[in-house]
Amino acid sequence: MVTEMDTQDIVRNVTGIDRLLHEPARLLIAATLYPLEEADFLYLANETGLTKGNLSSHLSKLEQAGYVEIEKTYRGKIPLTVCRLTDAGRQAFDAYREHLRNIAAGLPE
Amino acid sequence: MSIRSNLDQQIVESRRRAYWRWYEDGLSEITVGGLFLLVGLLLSLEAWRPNDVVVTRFVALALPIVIIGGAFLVGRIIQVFKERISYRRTGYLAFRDERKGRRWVTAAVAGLIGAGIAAFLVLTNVQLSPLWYALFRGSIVVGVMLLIAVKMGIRRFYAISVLIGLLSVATALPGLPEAWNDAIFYGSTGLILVLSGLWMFVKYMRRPPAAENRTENGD
Repeated sequence: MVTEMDTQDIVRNVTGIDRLLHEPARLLIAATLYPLEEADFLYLANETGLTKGNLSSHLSKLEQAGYVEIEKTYRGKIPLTVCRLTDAGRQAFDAYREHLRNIAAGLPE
Repeated sequence: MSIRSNLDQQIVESRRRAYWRWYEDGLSEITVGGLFLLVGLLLSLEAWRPNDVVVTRFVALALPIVIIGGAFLVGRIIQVFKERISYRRTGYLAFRDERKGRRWVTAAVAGLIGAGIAAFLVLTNVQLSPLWYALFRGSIVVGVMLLIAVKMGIRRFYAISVLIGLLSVATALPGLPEAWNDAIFYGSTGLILVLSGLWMFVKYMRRPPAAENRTENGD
């Protein structure tokens, strides 16, 4: 039985969700980068299945939010665009997961 | 609850795929296998010419250099191979070290266990029989391979573990000259790893880089 109070809590939880991370492609990028120290653009493109344009656009949004750091660098003689989750990005992703857990816990069986 | 567990599952899957990506080119196995092979060759040299002073001295000098130098350099050599071959085909990744503070603790515990075993053998004057020695040596290598297989979910390492396990049992059987025992074990272990790595490497190189095949729809 879900009371009116419970429903309000659920709605409050849903509206408080991080909308930047809630987008499926960006969530996928964050989940791919989460267990890693860093990965380059090609690796992310292969793993997420996103086109280069799409990936670039989503990475830019994550970078603007301070969730992802993008660095153009070299490994040996290979030029790489290396992406990594910042501490803020990691915390936001953890908070997002916690948020989802709270929402799921509040839902009726 | 399934929303949460799906996301957690996605992270576990990402980590496993990263491990899989790291080992899919076979370069790590080829490099580590090459090191084992080199150790096996040096020990073979000593087993082949046991009374040759020059050979014995050369092996006594070269073996620690290969083992200690290899332990330090193997990671760097794998990186160099990957920089030249893999990063441009399937991308670059670096694993997050979640045990930064625990690395020294692990090394210290491993060192203490090793020192404890050595002290026990010296103080009690216990001599491991060739059978027990071969099984002990084999179980360490098999243990490491199984750890990689379980932790990273890479199935071919189970097969490698079984092969090395069989090899350690085979070298434990009586009849094999003692001088050749280590040489055959380390050399064959190296060969198994190199062949497995080469097989993966050929498969990896035959596959076109995924990024070049992708259409604008992401297919």
